[in-house]
Amino acid sequence: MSPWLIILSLGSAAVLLAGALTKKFWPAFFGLSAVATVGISVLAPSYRWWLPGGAQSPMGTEIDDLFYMILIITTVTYIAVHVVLITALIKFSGKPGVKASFSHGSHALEVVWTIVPAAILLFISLYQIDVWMRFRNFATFNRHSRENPVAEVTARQFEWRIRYPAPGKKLMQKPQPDDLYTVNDLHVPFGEPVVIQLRSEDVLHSFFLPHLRIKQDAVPGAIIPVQFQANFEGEQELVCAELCGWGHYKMRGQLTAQRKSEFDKYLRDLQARQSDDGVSGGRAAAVVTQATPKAENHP
Amino acid sequence: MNRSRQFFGTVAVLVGVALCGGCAKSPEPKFVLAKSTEEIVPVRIGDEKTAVNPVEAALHENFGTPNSLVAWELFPLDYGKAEDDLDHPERGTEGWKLLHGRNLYMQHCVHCHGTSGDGAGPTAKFLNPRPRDYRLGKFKFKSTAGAIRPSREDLRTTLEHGIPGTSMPSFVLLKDDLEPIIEYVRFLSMRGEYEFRLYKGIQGILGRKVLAKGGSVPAEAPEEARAEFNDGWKDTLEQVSTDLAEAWTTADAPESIINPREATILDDAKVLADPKPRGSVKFSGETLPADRRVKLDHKEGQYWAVKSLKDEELGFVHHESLEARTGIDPKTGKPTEKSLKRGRELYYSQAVACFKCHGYGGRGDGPSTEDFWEVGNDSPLFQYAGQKYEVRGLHDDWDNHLEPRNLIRGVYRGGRRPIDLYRKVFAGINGAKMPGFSTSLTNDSDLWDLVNFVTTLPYDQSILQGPLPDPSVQPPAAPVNPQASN
Ligand code: HEC
Ligand code: HEC
Ligand SMILES: [Cu+2]
Repeated sequence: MSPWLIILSLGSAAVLLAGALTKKFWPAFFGLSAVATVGISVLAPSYRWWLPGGAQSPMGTEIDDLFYMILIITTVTYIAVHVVLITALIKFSGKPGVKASFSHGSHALEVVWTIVPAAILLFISLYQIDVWMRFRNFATFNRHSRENPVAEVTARQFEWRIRYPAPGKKLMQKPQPDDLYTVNDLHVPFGEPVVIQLRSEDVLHSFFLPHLRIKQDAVPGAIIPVQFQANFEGEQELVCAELCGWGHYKMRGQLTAQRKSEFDKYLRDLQARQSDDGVSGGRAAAVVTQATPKAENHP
Repeated sequence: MNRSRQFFGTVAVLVGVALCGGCAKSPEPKFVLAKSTEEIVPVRIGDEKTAVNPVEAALHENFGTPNSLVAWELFPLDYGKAEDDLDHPERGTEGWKLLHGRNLYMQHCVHCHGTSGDGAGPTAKFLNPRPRDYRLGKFKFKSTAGAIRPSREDLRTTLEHGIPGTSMPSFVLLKDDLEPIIEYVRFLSMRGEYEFRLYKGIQGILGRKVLAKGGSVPAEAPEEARAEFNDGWKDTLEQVSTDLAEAWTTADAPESIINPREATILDDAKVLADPKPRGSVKFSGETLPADRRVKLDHKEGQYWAVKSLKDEELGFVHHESLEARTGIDPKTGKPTEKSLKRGRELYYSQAVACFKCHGYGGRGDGPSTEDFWEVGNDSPLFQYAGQKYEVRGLHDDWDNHLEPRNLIRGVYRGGRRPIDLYRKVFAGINGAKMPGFSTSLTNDSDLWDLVNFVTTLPYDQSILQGPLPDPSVQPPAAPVNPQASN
């Protein structure tokens, strides 16, 4: 335990004790908890308890902006409410010999604190609708990537099974003989929007790319397109964000974003490996020579 | 009064949380003995005064316990020599690889495969198929022939891809850590097989009766009998360990891997030397070792091999012969119709009879699944060898009920590459009842026709249709639909 934590715990205990002794336990308690909440939030990033770095996708940046906007609104509200609460606790606490008075409330006040939050909520819901639409509405996806999903990702207790179409072909809903398969290892080209088809083989899972701020539930029986764009070259985590059983904690994979040319090479290598029949110049050679001309038909 | 209640309440909650937080200590991991080993009556070995279970003693001496492993130099295991690696300080100790492997195994595998690798971890009873029990030294999905152990590469493939269609997950993200895990799996498998083989050795020396609890106890046996046992035991220990060491060394030998037969250039040439002209031949300049290079000569529409060529001379031909050998049209990379037809013929023939297990419709429900099968000699229940299982259907060598694969689903546990499926048809599936066909089908093209047929099935079931090739093979009458008759 760091000395700071010990000092902080002792300090908090002292504040609570002082509060209890001066008959101000509850004001001390709520004051302390508010200070602690704000303090922890401010310190969190330096302890890496915060978002895992800046968003690495354009959608992620917009989602972060929304997040921070809502965070600011709620922080201001939180602090304001606590100031009022603590003031009230101190000002109106029971005093010996003083009789409590009863108030029927203020109509004007009620109206104000109904309308103000309602207006804030309305503002947030209108403000985010554009991002929400672009994240959730299939029709708004980039047309080329929508029509050419890179892969089908099937969640299964407790892994991600990935199916790519053969190079130069389109992903079909039904598995094709020349499809390419991997587990827990999703490759996509970076710097352009890509779409994956998300499915589940058993229970609810959630496809979560924390560094890209992309999260989408996988629902048994449904095929859900998910669009994202990786703004980096390299590897990031893919995790399951829906408690799906005992092995949920280890249901993780890896997203590799690479140059388009490297991605194409990755698929071709995968294809060569997967069509290995141990016969020199066999299937593997046949598919490799074949894939190139077909790729040109591609829009 | 009220205030002190709040105060003590808070303190009580905090203390409670701290207590639940974990002072619980997990018990020390132990290698458990096989049931058969536990049946053995203690004996006095050599000049020892006290009687011990000889198998247990040998296991303890040569393999240790999970917390203090013994590295037996005799076995082909890479225990990990101490390395000066600043990035990996844990590699500084002798035997680091096995220790590291054990730690990772305990973290990732133990809840399914068990501490001793007996496939009986706490999660195992909820799984179908059951996690592998490594102790028989048998592995199903590998590239090596017959009962040969899997190579390190095979184990790596299993770990990287997982076993699709089962609960065995992929560990591809462990990357560099796979190697130590593989060594530890080999260690556990050697240990387990050592145990079973020693038991059989004792059985050989003493006969079955002496082993049973309540039988005559060797510790009290006359001096000559003990001397005889001691001699036999010494031999057994030596024999079993050298056998095992050899078995696992063979696994990594390149000759143990099944490769398609007739894959040499000479055979290509033979196919092409077929008197019937087969059209044009294309050459590709692939580099091959000199002894596999052959020049093909061409005269009046016929081809034949002339002689081996030197490096810079012509390479290698494949188009025509490839089609004849693997049933794949080299232009499309897809199976030819002829190959699929022949595959079907074999599938339904009495001689090959895949249908007997995999079913008339390929759904893994053939007539064999209705039979009562016998307990095998190598199963953990070997005491009951020859008796029939109580449940209908196939059982694997671990005595687990086993269904032949539903070939329509297109999920292959041992890998979906054509070479993987070729190996399954060539050598069968070790430990499962699926036989190999390398001896009954000496022509490789037959094996490839079967592979082509099987791999096409998930995408096109119309290839099942048509008259059956052998009149003695008759599918059962179509099941009556009870609803239709109402
Ligand atoms: C969720 C349970 C589970 C976990 C965790 C698990 N396995 Fe398995 N494993 C299985 C099952 C089930 C099979 C048997 C599949 C079959 O018979 O088709 C298996 C089979 C195997 C096989 C045998 C393959 C063959 O060719 O016969 C090996 C080797 C293996 N596992 C190693 C490991 C290792 C090493 C780990 C840890 C890194 C591990 N497993 C973790 C369930 C598990
Ligand atoms: C005696 C029964 C039997 C016969 C005959 C048989 N199989 Fe199998 N086969 C099995 C069983 C059992 C399995 C599943 C083994 C397992 O997973 O443990 C299997 C599995 C398979 C698999 C799946 C391999 C994988 O990696 O998942 C294929 C493909 C296959 N068989 C093809 C064939 C073909 C082709 C034939 C005929 C040449 C054939 N089998 C004959 C019993 C049989
Ligand atoms: Cu999940």
